[in-house]
Amino acid sequence: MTGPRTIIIGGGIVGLSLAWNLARRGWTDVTVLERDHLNAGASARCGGGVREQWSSADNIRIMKRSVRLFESFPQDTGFNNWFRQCGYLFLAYSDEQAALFEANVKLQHENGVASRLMSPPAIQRLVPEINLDGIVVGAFHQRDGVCFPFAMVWGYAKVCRELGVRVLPGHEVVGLEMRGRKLTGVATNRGAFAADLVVNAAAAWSPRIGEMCGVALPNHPEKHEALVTEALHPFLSTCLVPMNSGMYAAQTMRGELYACVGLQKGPAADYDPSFAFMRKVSRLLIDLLPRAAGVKALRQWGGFYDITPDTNPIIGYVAEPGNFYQFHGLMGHGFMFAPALSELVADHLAGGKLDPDIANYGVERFARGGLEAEKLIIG
Amino acid sequence: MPRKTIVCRCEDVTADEIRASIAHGLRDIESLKRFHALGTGPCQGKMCLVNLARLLLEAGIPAAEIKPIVSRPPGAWTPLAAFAGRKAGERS
Repeated sequence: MTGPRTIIIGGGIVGLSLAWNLARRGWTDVTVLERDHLNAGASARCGGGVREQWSSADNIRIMKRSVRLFESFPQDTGFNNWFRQCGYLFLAYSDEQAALFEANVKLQHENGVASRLMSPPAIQRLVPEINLDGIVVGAFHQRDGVCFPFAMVWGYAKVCRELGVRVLPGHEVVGLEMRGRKLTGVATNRGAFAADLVVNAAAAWSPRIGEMCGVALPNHPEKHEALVTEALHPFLSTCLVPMNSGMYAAQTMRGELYACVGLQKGPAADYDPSFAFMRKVSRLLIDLLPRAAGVKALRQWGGFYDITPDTNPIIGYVAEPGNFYQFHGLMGHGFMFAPALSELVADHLAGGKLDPDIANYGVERFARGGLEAEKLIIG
Repeated sequence: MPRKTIVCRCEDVTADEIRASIAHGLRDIESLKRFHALGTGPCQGKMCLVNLARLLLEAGIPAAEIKPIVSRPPGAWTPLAAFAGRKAGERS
């Protein structure tokens, strides 16, 4: 047996991609505990957006790597992830937002991302049905895109199992067992598991896991909702992000129009679908794409963003228990970050190599006031 | 149910494809939905769910363990203009 007895709590894309990366580095005793069935949580509820356009150098570098991993996922895993590089078009509605786009594109170019500013006439050519009212400028990058969320989770679960990882749906963690200053095991509704290392990858539910061993975590769940319409002939070739609302919208390969947006900042108790969301998202969509008025809604649902006080992830060991690793706080963008972050976390855990891109993400930073905020958190 | 019976018309899934998935370990409707996208198409599960339940029963899953998917609003197809409180063609 190689590597510690490792329990990963949370069978979303974060937990599964980490488990696979640990197994690929030779660890032979890795277990992923998922409370529900696979694809029940945020990994399956998200819009599947994957992009290199970010506002901080760290996030740009990490997402460049992640986009490569989304591109090669079918070859790497033997599982089709339906990754469609339709581009992302951000839309600025004020001079302030336009200045942000200009700074972002400059930073993205410095980091090897070929994004570009787009004038309103060029926007109209790319999206003929768009309502240009109020749009100052756009920022576009073709390599960004949308991936089918269910497929990523199934694909990672498949390759995990091929390498001997135990992927266990229906196992809800009910307690953590401690001896001295270390965790020794994880109690579930279906029995206990001994552990030398425990990874908290429970996203919006991570603070509840932390509480089980006295670790206070500052994340909170924030409710965001999504809408899918009937299928239409293809008319929208890219993913739109109008920065006056925080909504993002795209057309799927099946022709459905979908859009996601949050209603309210702050902690939420549930992610039940709301009528208030339908009113808001319908108005936003009609303002942006007037033909949406006559398009019929097919289904709506909600999910949690896993929010941290400074909008950056929480990654690393805690002071005590010393074998309790945190990997969460991904701000509603964990789906796109997980493939690349999991490589870095696996290098840290299995190789003892702490990459500078994640070295600042320890939970202890909040005592010192946190990090600089990312400006392109959307949805 | 014959092998090639279409269990889900929206997503074009046959009875044998469902049987293979059940044999592969997807032993509940929620997991089958997320593998085959059953219930997410135009009918929103109105046609396929009863077929899925039957195939799970035939595979030996106890009836008490077979639970339906969560049904999503709005239930009936509804134009976005109705939610927005606007007439088609009208803007803010």
